[in-house]
Amino acid sequence: MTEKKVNISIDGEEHSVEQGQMLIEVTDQLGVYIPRFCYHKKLSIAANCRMCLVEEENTKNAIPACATPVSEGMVIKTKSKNSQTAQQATMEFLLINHPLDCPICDQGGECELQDLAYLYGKNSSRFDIQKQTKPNDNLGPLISTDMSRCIMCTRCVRFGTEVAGLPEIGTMGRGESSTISTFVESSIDHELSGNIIDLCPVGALNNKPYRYTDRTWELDQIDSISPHDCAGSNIYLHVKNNLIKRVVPKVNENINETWISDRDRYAFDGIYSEDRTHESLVRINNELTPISTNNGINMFIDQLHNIKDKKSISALISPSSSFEEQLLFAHLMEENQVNNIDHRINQIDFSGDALDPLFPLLNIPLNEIENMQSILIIGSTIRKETPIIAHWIKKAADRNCEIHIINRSLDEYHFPIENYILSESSLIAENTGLIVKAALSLSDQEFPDHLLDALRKLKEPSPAHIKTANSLIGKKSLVISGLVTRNNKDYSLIRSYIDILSSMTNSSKGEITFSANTPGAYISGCIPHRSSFGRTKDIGLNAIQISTNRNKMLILYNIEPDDCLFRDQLYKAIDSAETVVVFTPFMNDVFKEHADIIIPIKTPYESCGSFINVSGVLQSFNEGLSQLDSLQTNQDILFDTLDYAKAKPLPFEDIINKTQLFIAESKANINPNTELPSINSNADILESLNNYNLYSTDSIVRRSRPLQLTKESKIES
Amino acid sequence: METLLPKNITNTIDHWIQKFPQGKQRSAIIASLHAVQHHNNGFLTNDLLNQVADYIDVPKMNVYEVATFYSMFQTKPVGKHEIAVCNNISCMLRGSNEIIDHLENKLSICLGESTPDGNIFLKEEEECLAACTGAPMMMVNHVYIENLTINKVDEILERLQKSND
Amino acid sequence: MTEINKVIFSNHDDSESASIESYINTGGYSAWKKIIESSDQNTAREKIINEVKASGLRGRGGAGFPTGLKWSFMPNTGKQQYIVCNSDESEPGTCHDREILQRNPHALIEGMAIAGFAINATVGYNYVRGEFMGDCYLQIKKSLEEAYEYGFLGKNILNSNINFDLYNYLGAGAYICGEETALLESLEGKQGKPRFKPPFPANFGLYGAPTTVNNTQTLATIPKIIEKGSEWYSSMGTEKSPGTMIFSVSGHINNPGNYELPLGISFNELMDVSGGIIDGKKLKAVIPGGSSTKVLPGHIISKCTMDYESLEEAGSSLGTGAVVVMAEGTCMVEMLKRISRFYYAENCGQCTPCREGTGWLYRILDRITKGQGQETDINLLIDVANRIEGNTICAFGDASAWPIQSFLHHYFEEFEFMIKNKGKSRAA
Repeated sequence: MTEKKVNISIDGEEHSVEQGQMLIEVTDQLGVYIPRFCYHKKLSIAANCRMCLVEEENTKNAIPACATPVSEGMVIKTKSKNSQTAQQATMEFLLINHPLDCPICDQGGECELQDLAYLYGKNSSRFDIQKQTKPNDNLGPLISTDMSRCIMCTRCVRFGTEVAGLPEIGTMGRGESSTISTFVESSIDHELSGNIIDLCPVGALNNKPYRYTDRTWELDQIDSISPHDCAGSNIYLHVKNNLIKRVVPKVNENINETWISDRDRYAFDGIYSEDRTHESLVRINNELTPISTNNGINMFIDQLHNIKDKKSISALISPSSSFEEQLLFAHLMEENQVNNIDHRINQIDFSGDALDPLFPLLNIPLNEIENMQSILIIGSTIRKETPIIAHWIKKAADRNCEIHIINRSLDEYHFPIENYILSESSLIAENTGLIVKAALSLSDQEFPDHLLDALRKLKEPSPAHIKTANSLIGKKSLVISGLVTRNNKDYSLIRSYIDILSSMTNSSKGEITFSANTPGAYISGCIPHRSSFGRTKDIGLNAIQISTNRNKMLILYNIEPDDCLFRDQLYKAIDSAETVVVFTPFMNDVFKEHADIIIPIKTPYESCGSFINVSGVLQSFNEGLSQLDSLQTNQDILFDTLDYAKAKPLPFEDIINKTQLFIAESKANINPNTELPSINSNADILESLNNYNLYSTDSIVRRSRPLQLTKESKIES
Repeated sequence: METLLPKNITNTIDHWIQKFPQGKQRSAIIASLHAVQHHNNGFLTNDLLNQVADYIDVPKMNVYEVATFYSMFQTKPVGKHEIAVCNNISCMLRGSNEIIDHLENKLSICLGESTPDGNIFLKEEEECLAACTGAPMMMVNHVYIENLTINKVDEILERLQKSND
Repeated sequence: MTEINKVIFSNHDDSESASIESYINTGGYSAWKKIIESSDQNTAREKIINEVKASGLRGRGGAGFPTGLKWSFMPNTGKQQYIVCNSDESEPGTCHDREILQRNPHALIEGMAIAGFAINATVGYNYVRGEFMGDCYLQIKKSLEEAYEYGFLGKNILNSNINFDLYNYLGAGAYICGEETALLESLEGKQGKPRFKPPFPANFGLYGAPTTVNNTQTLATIPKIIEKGSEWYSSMGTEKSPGTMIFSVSGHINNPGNYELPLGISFNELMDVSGGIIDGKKLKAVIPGGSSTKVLPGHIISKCTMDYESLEEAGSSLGTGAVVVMAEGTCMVEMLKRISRFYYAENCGQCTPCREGTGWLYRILDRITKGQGQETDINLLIDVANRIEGNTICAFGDASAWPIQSFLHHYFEEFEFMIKNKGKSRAA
């Protein structure tokens, strides 16, 4: 349906534009700049700053461009004397009570008020009365407040109400004494709250840990990807003297819009922990002794080669390591006949390995989520697992999408939930199956007997199950699962149910995986039952089996016990293994006591590489970084290791293209799965992560000082 | 739902909520705050604001914003009896300044303050109360007293003092 | 002697005028009864709107917008629509709506019912300023109960299938809630911060539904217009300003009060009706329609008639009909300072020019009265006021600027004198 167009004139040029837009949207698209403070394309219109006033020939007073819809015959003059007079008037009013803080204000150099004052302000002020001041609230460890600088644009308040869905801050008072405040003493705790720092056009709300450290023009900017969850939020690292000073969002309308989570913003601090490993260490006479990395690698490979029974060698690699590292590491293991390799440290049910997809995939792009009309979330505390995906789900809910949830905890959401099935962990599979059963009776497709038999064995679906099944049919719908499902003893069964349900109801589907690069870990072959790019191999031990195996050598790449669902078991495995080789950025007590060879590696913040996000988008990060640092990269370490091990070289030049092609082909060739796992899982229930703590999820986050001061971090996990 | 608000207050709040469409109970905030403030001798506490928010089922921030925006709500402790003297133009032309001076002297407090015994709160400079033809006038506990004279003011102060003894 | 108290105050002599019996005995609710008995509701609606248009009634809340025209903007969406009465009377000098609520509340109730019927609104809210809670609010509350008791409101009124529910609402002290969109925000339980327009309330009003907001006096006039006809109403007043208005006369006047008089009455006649200036003093200045209207020196307004055209020509406006009379000896600098303090205290704080500018204006005037005025202050005041005017979300900005502009225009010398003489008033 074509939108109606109207003809308007802007600065003497005629334009035919779509009706229904505000003038400022049109001028932004055309590249005609109108100054503004309160307008933001992701927030509702406030029209309170009055900076965007422009002259319209047929109107007596200047009109606000952000709040005036385009109409036929409008004649706009954005640079006329009348426009400038109105804009200068606003600028003068904004500056009369604004403190002359530029020399001590962090925002200096990236301040919208400074920029516009330069264009629209005067050289000297005629205001000679005492400036008004406002009190400052303590909003917590992440956001600093200097409310005398506030120009009351209310972007932060609107963000809380509209984007976060939770008004943690509001406009108190009236008139000149209005101020933005929490009113009662309280921190701002929402997982996306740091975005109000970016939104604030002045220095009223700033990055607290970053405060007073640097000037924006001294920083270099590097394009990067957040290594903390599967969304692959785009970020910028701001770097000075080889140190990351802060992280800010990079716009990507398909993945994270203009936002990042607080975890993405503040986690980087962890890389400066005192725990960092700087040199290779080897245990001699029970003492950890420094050694050159080369020697460390040589020792590792020599010992590896000396072990005849390759089944007694096991390797675990982090699903948050870069794709390149995962590929090299998997290749190293394969070349050395080590089949016991895995990354799935948050899984206990492996009975469905044979039914594994080539890699877990959300089969729609992230920005498609908001177009859904019905979403079923199975086993996920989505706000804490992947805040950005929870944000997309909220956007869908705001557009009247029905949200259905099956989870073991009653989590707080800031949008209406149509149906919340609170279910013990052991019953999540059954509840999912009952929805499948309900959908079956509403579907006219043919299904294999074994599936029908299995479903027949379940009890009758309750009205709640029928309601959810119903809502997925005939609509744009999505079924997703999260970490609670992945942790579950019936993970494979639930996953199969989801596959079947989605084909029954014609829904999109996906698994919201836990770390930055789980798809990469599958594709690179960091799994015991498949080699890279889906090739077959001799099947080795899975993660749980590795942790209970008698290992002559246990190799850990970028993993600490705290990363693991079955941390106690892993600890025992580390204790009992004859030789423990760890490639790690961080030291911890367990390694201090038990590791035999420690090779320091860099975190993703300090390396180049690629992550594949939950929708299968491969994104490379830190390409500019290599120029800043000439020390040995993780890839170099792995190449050296492969070299010394005399392994077949891995063709690496075109690896990104090759992988992207592989992903595209795999997406195109996905066959709907109607199989249920044939082996019954008998895994023990591990009720860990009872209260999900979003700042305990990886080694870097756990060491981030600002995040560990937040309310969220104090939750027992 | 569980609430610490007394029954007469919750009854009042319920009465107001039913004036509005389903789901629009936010409209009842102002009337609820009036009821709670009256019950609490003329001012609101954070606790009361939270209780109102919980009972009506609106985000607490909505209640805070309303409590701080409107002049009739006091969010800090004040004296029991509120005296608000209009000082806008019609009243100013008929001698409201003298009334205010007299009150400030008699009570030994300035506008915006409460007497030390907590009996009287002299509201800060009040804007037009829509009783201009009866100027000068003042509002005592929301009762309009027009055509003031110094004597009339003294009589009222006496009565308020007696009620305190 | 001019016709006085013919419409809303027609029952003024009756001490029981507020009671429903008294109201009915003087013809009250007869218009409403006729309407709900009409066989064709759509035709009845059209007729009412045409009648109101023909009467020439203009909004009495200050803006003077033709009421019939405003009603005709309302769509008929088939969904819930609203009529809202603005009883948030707070314009300095104005006190007639209070008297309506006290002495003839049923005129308002019937007026709202008729208005609601005409614009397809089955629910009405009467937004009463909070300070009235111990005063006339008690009366309008009682009267509303009476109207329900007598079956004039509610569901299926007098077996007509017509529904109209009316509710009283209390504000909590904010002049800005008298602005119609701020009023709607306040009705929704939020801070009273005006919305930008478009969208207009007729399209997006209370809870996002089509809504018409009218002033108390406007609505209270409706029953008599429908009962006695538009010709009767427009036979009073002037051609361009038909009908009557309740003038609140206050200040340096012998008999301050609310007088319902035909528009077009001469200012001098109004002075006679209200007893003339106190102490036999000479007239100095008048604010003709509430503090948001421009001040007029005595010699100018004495030549005016009290209607929209004459006052506009003289450089001011009829506003709310709140006539504040200032006799010789009044210090215009102190008056302007007090007026500017009002706008400084009552601005909502939403948009930049008001929030920052009104405080600046007030502080300049304050220092002038304290003897610290500077030579450049007068031009500064005018310039700041000019920069607020026209640049704000709502008319409050203009209303805060006009007094500055008009006082300085007419009484320039007094300000100059006070600045030169370190705070001494020339008027004294």
